[in-house]
Amino acid sequence: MKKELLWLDRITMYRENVRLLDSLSMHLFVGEILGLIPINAQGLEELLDLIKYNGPIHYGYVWFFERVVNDYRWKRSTANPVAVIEKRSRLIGSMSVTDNIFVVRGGMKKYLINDGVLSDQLERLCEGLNISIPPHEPVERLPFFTRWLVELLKAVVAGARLIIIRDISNVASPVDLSRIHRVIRYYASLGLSFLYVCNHHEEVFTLCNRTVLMEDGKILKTLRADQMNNDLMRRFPQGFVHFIDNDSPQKATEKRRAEKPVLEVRNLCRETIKDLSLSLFAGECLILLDLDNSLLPPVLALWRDRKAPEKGSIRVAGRPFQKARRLFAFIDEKPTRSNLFADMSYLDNLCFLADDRLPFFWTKRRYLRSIRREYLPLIGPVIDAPSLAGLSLHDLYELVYHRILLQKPRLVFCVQPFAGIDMYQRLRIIQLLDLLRQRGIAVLILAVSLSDSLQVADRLLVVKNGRAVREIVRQTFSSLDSVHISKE
Amino acid sequence: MGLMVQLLFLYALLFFAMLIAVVVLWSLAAEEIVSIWLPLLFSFFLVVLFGITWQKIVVPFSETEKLLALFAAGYTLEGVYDIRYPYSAGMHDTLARLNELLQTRDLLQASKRQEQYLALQNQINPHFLYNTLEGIRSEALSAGVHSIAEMTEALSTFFRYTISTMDHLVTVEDELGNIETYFLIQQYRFGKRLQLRIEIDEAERSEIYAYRLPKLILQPIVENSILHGLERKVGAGLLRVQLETTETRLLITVSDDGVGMESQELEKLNRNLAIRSLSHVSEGRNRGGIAIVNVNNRIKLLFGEQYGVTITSTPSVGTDVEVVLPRIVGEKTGVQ
Repeated sequence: MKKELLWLDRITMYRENVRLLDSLSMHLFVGEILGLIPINAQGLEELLDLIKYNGPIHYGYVWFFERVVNDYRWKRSTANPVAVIEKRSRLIGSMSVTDNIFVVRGGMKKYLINDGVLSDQLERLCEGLNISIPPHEPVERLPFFTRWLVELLKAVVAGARLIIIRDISNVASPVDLSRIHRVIRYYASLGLSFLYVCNHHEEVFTLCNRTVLMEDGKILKTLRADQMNNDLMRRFPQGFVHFIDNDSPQKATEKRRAEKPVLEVRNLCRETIKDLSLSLFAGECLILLDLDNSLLPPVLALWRDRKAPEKGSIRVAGRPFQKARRLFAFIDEKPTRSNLFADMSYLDNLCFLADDRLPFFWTKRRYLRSIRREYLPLIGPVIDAPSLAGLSLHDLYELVYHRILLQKPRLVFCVQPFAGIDMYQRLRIIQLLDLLRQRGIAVLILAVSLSDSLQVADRLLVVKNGRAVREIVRQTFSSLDSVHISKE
Repeated sequence: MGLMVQLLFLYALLFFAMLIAVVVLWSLAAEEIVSIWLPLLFSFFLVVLFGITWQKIVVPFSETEKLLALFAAGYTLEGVYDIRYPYSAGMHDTLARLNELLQTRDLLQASKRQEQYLALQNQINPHFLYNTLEGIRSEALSAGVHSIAEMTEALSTFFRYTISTMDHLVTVEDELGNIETYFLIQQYRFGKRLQLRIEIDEAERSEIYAYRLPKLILQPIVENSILHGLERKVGAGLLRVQLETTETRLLITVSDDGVGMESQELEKLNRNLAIRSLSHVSEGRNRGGIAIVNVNNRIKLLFGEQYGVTITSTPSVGTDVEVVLPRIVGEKTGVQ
């Protein structure tokens, strides 16, 4: 007999006459790791809030431990023993590990805190995990995995029975991710339940007991252990695994490799980057797989803030890095926030970098009209939007990538292009990145998640402690997994 | 006490309190009292009035309105009897009476259906049917046509269960046995391309087999999966029946890897499952999704709103039908 922890029974929810959740039913058992793949973002926030706080619903029942905790008849707004661990940490950075876990929590009634006792308790908590955490270290000084573990321990001590892990692979390196999965499995074996929210089915399938696919606020399908494979995913009309088999861009790249590289990095050193060398050809996509989260700050300094390297050289299309500013473009992790101007019109945003190709662009209105005519069939009527306010995420991503296509630089640097987006958007970005490559633009991607990368990459450069430790070509991708890579 | 009466009482109380306060202040007749305290007093009363109106009118009124709207849309039958804030005592009594009448109507309809069922049974005369089928089986055996003999035996077993078994709650074992028989008959039509897999945790098998559920709950669902899911599929098809239990519930999932349903079709079916109607009782034949809607309505009438059927489906992936039932252990009972 299974012990039921949570049962969402035909939940229907409206906000401002928009149906966000539509007869959504879902079981979660004690000690189970349930994967949740939101194919689009509709209703996801509301669903997670509902699981936590029993907010008002239009119809349905929420059961916790086989008792109704929320239904359509009257408002309850009580909280369930549920904790959420996501990118935004809920810990207090300046406080110590033991203070965060034992002191800053509801139900703590002691006035005198004995540090020794708390340290002993922490040691006991960590016994089964074979992991040691410095009890008095401020949380902000801890590495990512330890900080994540502290957050989990805090939830366990606070009495949470269900932990929602959300988009963790967007911030965790492959090494950390495999350790996180080990910890999740350990706590699941002790009876704690997990809801693992993630957009990458490859990642979810390696960890979870069952997986729920959610689209438009409805459950599309619940996959059991023997159904969690690419064969089944391939049958979905959404085309989740279409691109992994598509290697036509690879052939085009091979032709171009006879030419000079677009990007040449030789013995590069800056902050945590140590002696990094690489070459990238026109139309090629190279992934820098950051195993230990060491690359992001120096990469941002070099490519976004355009600082000089401490040692070594970067040449873009044969020119020194400092003199090639207009030859490459940079797409940030959240490009819809950082790469766009909300008050400017869609068309002005689209043409923002067009003066790279056409001198005196802004003085000649006919250029603008011509671009509007050319892009209207591709983008649609949204091209005439007077500002970006109220536009959907899809429209904004289209704008970011079409702007690059219009600018046509020789190289594009993307930081985690798949972070925090739904599955549909992810597939669209794969298409757009393919389009960039087809136009001969080289694409360099910094990623921390392997599942992000395989569908677009021609090559994978595994980087650990700022050094390239292994290069993997596309033909051998199918034999890879996170655990394998993390042992580099 | 109805909402209106409570409200009138509160407003009257507030009005008298305010009147007394004004009279007291006026009798003191001090200028600063009139110019400072009177506006403050009025503001205070306005705030209290707003609070009372919100708490005692707006919130209860919207809750009652929501339940009545859900009842009118067909989402709920039971919710309307649990209204916490009826507008008046008369409304409360009316709803209670309506509940009684509906219960009576259910019983009448159920017994009418039962009469039809018995009449059909008498028309068929089961002994005549079984003897005939047995005769066909003997002829087939003596002619050496074993497939016809086996098929006739399966058909006889199937009729014996559907026509003769008089209990309304049967064991899971019997219900699964009937599915296997039905599937065997279908396999003569589809051959080896149709597979059935019944999945139960081995440690729980004997326990689950002994649980009880309404008769012929699963067969219409399996029939639907075969006719609308697997029959139209090119290549082999798998039908899975998974049984799980929790402390209070029996969860049965019937999944097929057939052609699945388009979203509009699924939405229509789910809408029919969500909206409760008693018309199914007089429904003559089980066609398409109607069979599943009937199963859903039977479960809800027998056990309550929290039990029933939910469906998920994707074109070219398949359809899952989940049936949630109470875990009933013990003797055959006459739950109707």
